[in-house]
Amino acid sequence: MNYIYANILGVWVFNDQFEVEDKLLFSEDDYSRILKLENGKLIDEEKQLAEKYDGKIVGNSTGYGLGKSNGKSYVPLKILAYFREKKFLNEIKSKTLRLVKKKISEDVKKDALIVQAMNQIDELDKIMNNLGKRLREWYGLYNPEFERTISDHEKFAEILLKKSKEELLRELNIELSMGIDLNNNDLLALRRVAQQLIELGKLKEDQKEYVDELMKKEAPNVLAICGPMIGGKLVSLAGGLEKLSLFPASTIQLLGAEKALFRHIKTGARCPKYGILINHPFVTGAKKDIKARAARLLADKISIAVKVDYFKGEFIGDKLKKEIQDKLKLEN
Amino acid sequence: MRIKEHKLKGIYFTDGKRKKFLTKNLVKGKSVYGEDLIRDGGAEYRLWDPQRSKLGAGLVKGVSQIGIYPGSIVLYLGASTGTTVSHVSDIVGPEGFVFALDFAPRTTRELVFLCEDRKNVMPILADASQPKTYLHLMSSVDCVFQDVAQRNQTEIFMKNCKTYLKKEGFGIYAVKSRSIDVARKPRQVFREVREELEKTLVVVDFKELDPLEKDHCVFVVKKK
Repeated sequence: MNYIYANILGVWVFNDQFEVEDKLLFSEDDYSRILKLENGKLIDEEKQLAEKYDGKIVGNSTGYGLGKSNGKSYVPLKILAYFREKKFLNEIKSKTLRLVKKKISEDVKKDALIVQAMNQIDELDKIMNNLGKRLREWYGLYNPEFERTISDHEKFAEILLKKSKEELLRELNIELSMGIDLNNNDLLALRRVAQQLIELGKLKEDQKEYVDELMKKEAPNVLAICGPMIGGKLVSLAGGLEKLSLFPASTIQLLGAEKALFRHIKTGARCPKYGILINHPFVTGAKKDIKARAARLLADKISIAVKVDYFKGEFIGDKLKKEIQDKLKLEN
Repeated sequence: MRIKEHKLKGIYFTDGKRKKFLTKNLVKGKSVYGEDLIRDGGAEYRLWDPQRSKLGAGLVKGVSQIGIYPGSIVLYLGASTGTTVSHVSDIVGPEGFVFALDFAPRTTRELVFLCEDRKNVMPILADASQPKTYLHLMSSVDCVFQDVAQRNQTEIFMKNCKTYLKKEGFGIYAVKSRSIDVARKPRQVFREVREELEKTLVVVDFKELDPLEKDHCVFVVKKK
């Protein structure tokens, strides 16, 4: 009786003393063949040798009705021991390395870009906030009266670059300033920070546009319902479009509210009604007592939209959005 | 500081206040995960960080046997980015071989770089709970090392030992009690794991890894 065993190098026929009787080496890499081996499907070469030797096919592909296998499949360790030789191991390695590289590159889809870009925008937000706070403290030494009149960091930086202290104080009708005088050198150091802040602001706008483009291609339906920022954020929180498409609507509703959700599960505190969706105009615009209902409705439709997007269906985003609007109007 | 040979072949240590373990660097001048390189008369050694490697922690706790020798062929399940794998690769040396398996593409990406530096390590991107999906890439092995955080990790270990471990080969099994059951006491989990293992394997050694790794232990087993 013979054993027929297929691996990445070729198909091997062993006799019952576990010596190699015949072999059929694969000359070139064939990705589909390797996938077949992985998934336990019979490959043509195995069939060929099985007919020739009337042997038992062992390994992954047993139990598929060819040869004399009886369902239970295992490879005698003595067959595997044959491949312990260094030359086989090195060959297996060089082939597997190519396979693994291919698999890794195939694992990354376009939605990974959305995740990265969204995380980048979040980080920019944090950085800009830190930079803005520092700039205020710094400028406050020089011109505290103006510092407190404007709350937006970016606008603050812009005005600071355009106008001098005298101009600003005149505008505010202040005769005596509490600030100290700074010379040009000191001011230059401060202005460079302000310039960076404005640059970062531009970068952020560009990144947002980029996410918008990506979403148009990858998830047009989600984009239509929630816009690029909330849509992108949902994708990044889920960790990809595929994962998001497998989530139930209730999970989507609470994405971004994990802390509150687990607090609810652990201590029995009130459960959260919405996560990141709270920023959506439909939820912010809803009356207080139907906010949760709006979030639920929104999550339902997003869940439908993302499934359509992931499985490359037609564009139904506008229809879904209109459905939500109509329903909410009734509630209002 | 003098470097001495440990009774387990391929492992070295320095004595001082604290015993530190080292392995002889297979790729000279390269540090894998930021560990220190120590030169001692022509050879170069890599310091083994027990806080980042469960096998390293096991050595610090004094396991009597690991079953990995120079020239061994090892199946390493749960290779991650290859921290411990690199030390195993050092121990088995150019004559040995390591099959390093992991499930996650992102961490395997780092592992591939390691495999390009080290001729004796091969990456496998597959699910350890289904040993059959990588049957076409394997040979039989002298040692199975497992460090995966899965609920059914004992079952995974037994399956792999059954499929790939040669007779009288050793297995090293790092158990994370919290991934088997968070609620129960680690000791109790370990006892149950031991009972499970003893059905088909011989338990050679058992060490708890506290305080290096909380709620972890290692089993060293031998195939009958």
